[in-house]
Amino acid sequence: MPSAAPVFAAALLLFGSAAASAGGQLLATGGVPTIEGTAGGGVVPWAVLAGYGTSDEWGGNVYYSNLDTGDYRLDVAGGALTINNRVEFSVARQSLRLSTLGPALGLGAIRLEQDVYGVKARLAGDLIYGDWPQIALGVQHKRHRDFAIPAAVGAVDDSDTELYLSATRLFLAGAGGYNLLLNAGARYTRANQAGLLGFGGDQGRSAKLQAELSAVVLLNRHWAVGADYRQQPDLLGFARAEDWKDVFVAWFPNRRFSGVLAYVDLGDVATLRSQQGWYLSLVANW
Amino acid sequence: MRAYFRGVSLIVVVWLAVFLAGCQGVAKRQPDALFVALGGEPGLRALVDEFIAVSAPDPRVAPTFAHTEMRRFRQKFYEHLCELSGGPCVYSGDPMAEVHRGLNINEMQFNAVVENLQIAMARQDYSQPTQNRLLALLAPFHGDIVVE
Repeated sequence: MPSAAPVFAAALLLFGSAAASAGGQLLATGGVPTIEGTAGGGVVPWAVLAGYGTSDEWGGNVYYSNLDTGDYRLDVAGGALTINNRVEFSVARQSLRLSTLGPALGLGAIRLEQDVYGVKARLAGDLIYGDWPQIALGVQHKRHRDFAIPAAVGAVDDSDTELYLSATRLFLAGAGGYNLLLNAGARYTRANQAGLLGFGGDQGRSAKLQAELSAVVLLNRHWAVGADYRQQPDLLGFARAEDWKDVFVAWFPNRRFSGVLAYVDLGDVATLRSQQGWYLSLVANW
Repeated sequence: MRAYFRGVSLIVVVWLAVFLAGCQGVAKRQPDALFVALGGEPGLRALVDEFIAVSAPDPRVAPTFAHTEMRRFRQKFYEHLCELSGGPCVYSGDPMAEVHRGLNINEMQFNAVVENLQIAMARQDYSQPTQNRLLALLAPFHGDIVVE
């Protein structure tokens, strides 16, 4: 997606110069955008909603992310709008470049694209206060823009809609005096590699519940370190799919901007062994 | 004879010291580690002053503080922090729900106060765990303070 970077730069300028308040929530409590557009911890959605708006404010963000394992390069540009800290609407365009697989198939360094449209609603609880963790229910509709490769490897459908439920809580002084954020979620999915290789396959067409977990320690108001774990369905016979893991450092200099640097381990992906690489994400909030 | 008298005096002095220390221990319980980490009374009084200095120019909370008698707030907030952190104080103000009734404090304003307290604690050079432990003691009052 060559057009993403200039658009993002323009958005940064726009939001950076906007006079409006950046929302009333505490720094870092909006999480960061996931590769699917919704707020969370990089690859795992949390029950928090994008941006820093409180119950009588609107919030949101735009972002650009890049993950490069050498064999694959994923570019994501997206954004989210949250209304009254109750409902979040998100959109993401994912562009996956098959640097190794494409030439191996005689197709050159081809790219495939997927769009993800999401809605997430906060059902109950609060991230920090009260007796209950924050609980949110989300839905993601994923749609391929070019299905040739996923179809060639056995994927059944080029679009699908999946549900997930997340519970997230920040424990003040919960980790040796440092604030600890824990997230546990379940996604009802049949997406191959989060849908980048289509939905369903020769090994099964039906969705299953998959766990999505995160743990984060906030070093102070501006820095956090954490890890994500995301289970993957394994429905394509031509290659084994493995669970995703990452460790990350997130930086929240102010409510307007945040950045994430992660090291991601996708396991084996479409016959290519042990896909690991750096992930960088830049976010502008309002 | 002189040596004997000196020995008895020493025993009396030591015994008196132990007795007095023991009495103090009964009358005033040992302050908690958090109160000590916060710098005791001078540390907490300085924190309250720093918090007021950070909040005064903050447009998110200044309108609410405009209706507050600051001398009273300064003393009661100190007492509250002292008691919560395990110091030798008794909070003599009204319950949190009563104090904040009618102020219509929303989530944004509550978080602004938390943030200003974080900034004030950082300026006091408190360690991150000390800051978080004090916040953890204050967080349960959220429900008494914020109007949903």
